[in-house]
Amino acid sequence: MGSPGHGNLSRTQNRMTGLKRRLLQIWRDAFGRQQLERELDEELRAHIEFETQQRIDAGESPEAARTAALRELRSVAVVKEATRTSWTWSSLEGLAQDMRYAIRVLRRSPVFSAVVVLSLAIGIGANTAFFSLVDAMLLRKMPLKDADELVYLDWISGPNRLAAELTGTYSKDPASGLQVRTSFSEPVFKAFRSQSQTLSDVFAFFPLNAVTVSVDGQPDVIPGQLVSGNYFSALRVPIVIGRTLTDDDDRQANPVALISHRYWQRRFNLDAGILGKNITVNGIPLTIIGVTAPGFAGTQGFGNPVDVSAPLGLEPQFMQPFGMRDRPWAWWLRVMARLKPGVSLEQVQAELTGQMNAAGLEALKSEPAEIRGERSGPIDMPKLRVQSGSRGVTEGLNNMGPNGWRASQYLTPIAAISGILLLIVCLNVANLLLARTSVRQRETGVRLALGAGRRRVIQQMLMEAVVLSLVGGALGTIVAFWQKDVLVAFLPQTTMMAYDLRIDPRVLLFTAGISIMTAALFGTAPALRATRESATAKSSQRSLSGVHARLRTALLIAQVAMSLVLLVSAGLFIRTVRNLQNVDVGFNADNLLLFRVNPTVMKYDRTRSAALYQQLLQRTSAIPGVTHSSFSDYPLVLNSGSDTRIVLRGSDGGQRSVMTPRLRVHWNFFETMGIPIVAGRALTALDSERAPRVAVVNEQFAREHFAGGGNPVGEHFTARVVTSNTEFEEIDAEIVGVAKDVSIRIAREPVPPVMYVPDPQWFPAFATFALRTNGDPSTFIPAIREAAREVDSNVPLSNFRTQTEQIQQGFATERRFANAATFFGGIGVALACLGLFGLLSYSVEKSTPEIGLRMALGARPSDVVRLVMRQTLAVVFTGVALGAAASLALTPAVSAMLFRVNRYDLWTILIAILIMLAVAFLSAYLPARRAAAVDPSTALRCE
Amino acid sequence: MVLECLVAMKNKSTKNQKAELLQGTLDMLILQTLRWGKQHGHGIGQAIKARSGELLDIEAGSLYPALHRLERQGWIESEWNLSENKQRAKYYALTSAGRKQLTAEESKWDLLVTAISRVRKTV
Repeated sequence: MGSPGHGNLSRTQNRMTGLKRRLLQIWRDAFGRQQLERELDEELRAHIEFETQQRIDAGESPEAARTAALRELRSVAVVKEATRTSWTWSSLEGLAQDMRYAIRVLRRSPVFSAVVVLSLAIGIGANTAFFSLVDAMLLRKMPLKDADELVYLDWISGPNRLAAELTGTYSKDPASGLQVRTSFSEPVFKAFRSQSQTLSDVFAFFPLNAVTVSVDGQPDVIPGQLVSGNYFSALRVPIVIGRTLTDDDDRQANPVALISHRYWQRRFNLDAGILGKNITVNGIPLTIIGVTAPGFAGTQGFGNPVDVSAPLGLEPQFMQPFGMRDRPWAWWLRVMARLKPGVSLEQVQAELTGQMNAAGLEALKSEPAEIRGERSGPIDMPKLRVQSGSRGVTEGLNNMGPNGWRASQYLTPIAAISGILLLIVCLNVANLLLARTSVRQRETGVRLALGAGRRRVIQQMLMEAVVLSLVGGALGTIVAFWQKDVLVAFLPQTTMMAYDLRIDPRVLLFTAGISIMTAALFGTAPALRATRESATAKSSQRSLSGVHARLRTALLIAQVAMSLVLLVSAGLFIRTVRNLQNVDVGFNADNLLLFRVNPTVMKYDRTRSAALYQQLLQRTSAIPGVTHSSFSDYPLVLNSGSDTRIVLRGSDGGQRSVMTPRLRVHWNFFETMGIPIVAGRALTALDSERAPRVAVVNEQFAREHFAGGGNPVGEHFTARVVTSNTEFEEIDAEIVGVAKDVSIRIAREPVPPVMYVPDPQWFPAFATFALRTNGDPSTFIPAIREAAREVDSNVPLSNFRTQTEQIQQGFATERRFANAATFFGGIGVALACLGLFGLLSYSVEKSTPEIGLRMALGARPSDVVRLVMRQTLAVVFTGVALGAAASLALTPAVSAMLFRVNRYDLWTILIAILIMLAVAFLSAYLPARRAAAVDPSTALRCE
Repeated sequence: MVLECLVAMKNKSTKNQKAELLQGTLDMLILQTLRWGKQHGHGIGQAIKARSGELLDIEAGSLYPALHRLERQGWIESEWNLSENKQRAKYYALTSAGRKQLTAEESKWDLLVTAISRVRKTV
């Protein structure tokens, strides 16, 4: 920067405006640090040269002159530092420096830093994942424009429903205790659409759940739905390629379909030639005319995506012979709508209620008698509900898992575990930071005495906390992504559900913010106190450390208590899982392979289905290693099934109408599954389509309906077997045998009464095949697939699993909770022990002089150890007592999930306490040993 | 942040008295010195010492921070140059803003001196 020539001040700087100079300065401060340093160096060196020269001119010797000059300059470093402080005009510079210093300091205590960072990561990660789940389940809206204008409709009714014939899901309204239904009839929907003044668009859909889609001969099972012509346009779903559905498509029943973006990606690899492609859906040929935008997955809410949509006009083809369009009294459509601007939900409710009741009552005129017979009194008119539909119909919350719990019911226990963990983490971080501040009290005092600004010292400590938080937060993000998959595993899983859980950046910021605030608070609050008082006053130092120690002890006790709660819950869940595993299912569940077949979606009639099953049985039995082959409509140990109403005709002529679970089975089902027959006979091949109707019941059935030891064998009953939309067969059947009780439903539930009926005598439907194999069942899967392909390549097999896996699915969630509680409990215990170790080490270090004094006065090492242990005892016992009390108080909250576990399970609490004590004493061991090893002479000098 | 300048006042008497200069005063002295033309740090210190009759000996630890601060505030500007004995040094000079500031500081100082003198007279 020096100009040539001598003494000419360059004019350029004069010309520079003040603003430009300022900006240049900021630039140099931020990025030109090195150059500034170099220049200062040179400037000071020049100063020394001038001074030296001046002294030489005054007569001193060169060496003396130089020495004097240097001395006069005092410490060059001090000068530099003083000059530098005038540089830190930009706080940015100061912050960066503080950060570098903080990092250096933290690296010097790697264990401390690592523990704090890990704690923060776990806390931030777990809670981010959890809150993202809550967001997805409860809060996140569909990614559509103006989604807030959407509403969905459902209704509540007493038992004598206007809608006697009803398809769809139901749940209970907590306020009234009545059932909530989600379906409407087509006349009602049409009334809404044509008559409503408050709604700008009314549209409907009908979920088909699993449909078989065949593309180029390859079958696939995906979720599908039928929709009204204006479905996509009313929702304002963007179409990526192709066109949207229209009312004409609906009216003319055009054989068209739209697919989801994710299906386009998964199945067709985003092939641009998708438009016009011919596929068959449940055997019906359709042409793909469009693909919806990515992110849109239908209107059924979280966990229920839809991949293919076809017009409602095709309903007769899909649903035959049970079509609902020609039955105006059938309620089956889900209805959603878009509000007109300025309209309130109450206005809509008021207007639509009248239209619904009118259309519904009108349809009653054509209601067949037996449907009308379902009501036992005057009609309970439905109460319409209009709710915000920006999230779809949020049925995802009602997804029922294999163990009967709905998805929404899991939120509370998962929240509790996450919350406790976050609390433990915050406590741990607080404790560690407090400890650190105490330890560095002397250092802080020295810095203050040396003249460091109080604000600067605090700023620097704050920076340490911030650095830890930032690193912890970064790690926490990774943990969050991992945790979300763990969390999703807790939710009900069936084949058609798919959870797309995204980590919400807002949630991440929220939880990171909490953790950073905790770290900042506990990193600096003690520092504030420490720097306020005079650092040299020893008395104030001691009292400060006293307060600190008490605070840390309190925090530690809380940590111990909470870890105990987690341990106890882990123990309870583990016992539950063990109990569930030990439930005797009543049949031989070893080496059984299960898989599902559904020929009815291909519109196979009775004959064709029966033939298919027969061939499958023959082919699979022929596979070497398969000893038995059979099927039933539902597998054993499943949380759902069919119920049938039958009328038992007593020998005295009396009639009893009972609703009973019914299983449609192949005749050799009992032998295949190893179910003994205790009375009468099993089913045989002779119980065919044309033979007299028979059934086998189980012991529970006999106990319930033939109380007093009556034998059901030989008794008759009548039942209605529906064969089509309008046809049913009233049959008279005889009970020919009683089978031993087996777990029809999941292991948790008591065995219900059940009626086994021969497959040929009842209406065919889907089936779950069960094959008994020699050896590992999963090795037979390829051979079975091959056999099925030979029989009929159009019908896909799905859901291969072993019977053991089927049973375990019934308590998979309990198992996951056990794992989670164990894992988190372990972390809590580890953190508590680390805290205990730190606290004891510190107090031992602090009381080294006192220990030395005692030992000098004759105390033995064992006495010292006892002293340390007594301190440990105080903390741990208090914590354990609190934790035990908390566990006893909280157990009822999770008792719904436990199985055959005492409400006040003292054994589990005892074991948890023992574990906690053992680990606590282990962590006290090292400080105790160090205390015992104190050398009295050095200890006394320490003061 | 009061920067305390330690200034050794060399007295003919045996006692060594230390006078504390306020930050603003040092700034004013520096600006005044530079009124006479550009100068490097060492030279400024020597000039102040000489013109005060050896009463004010500014330490480098006070001088250089003050110079850098004044430069940041825009009242002086710097330039690297060669001295008479070919020593590379940083030369400072007054800016026009600095000239204005100096005038303002001087009148403030005069006012202060007048006020204090009045108080002293009445006591």
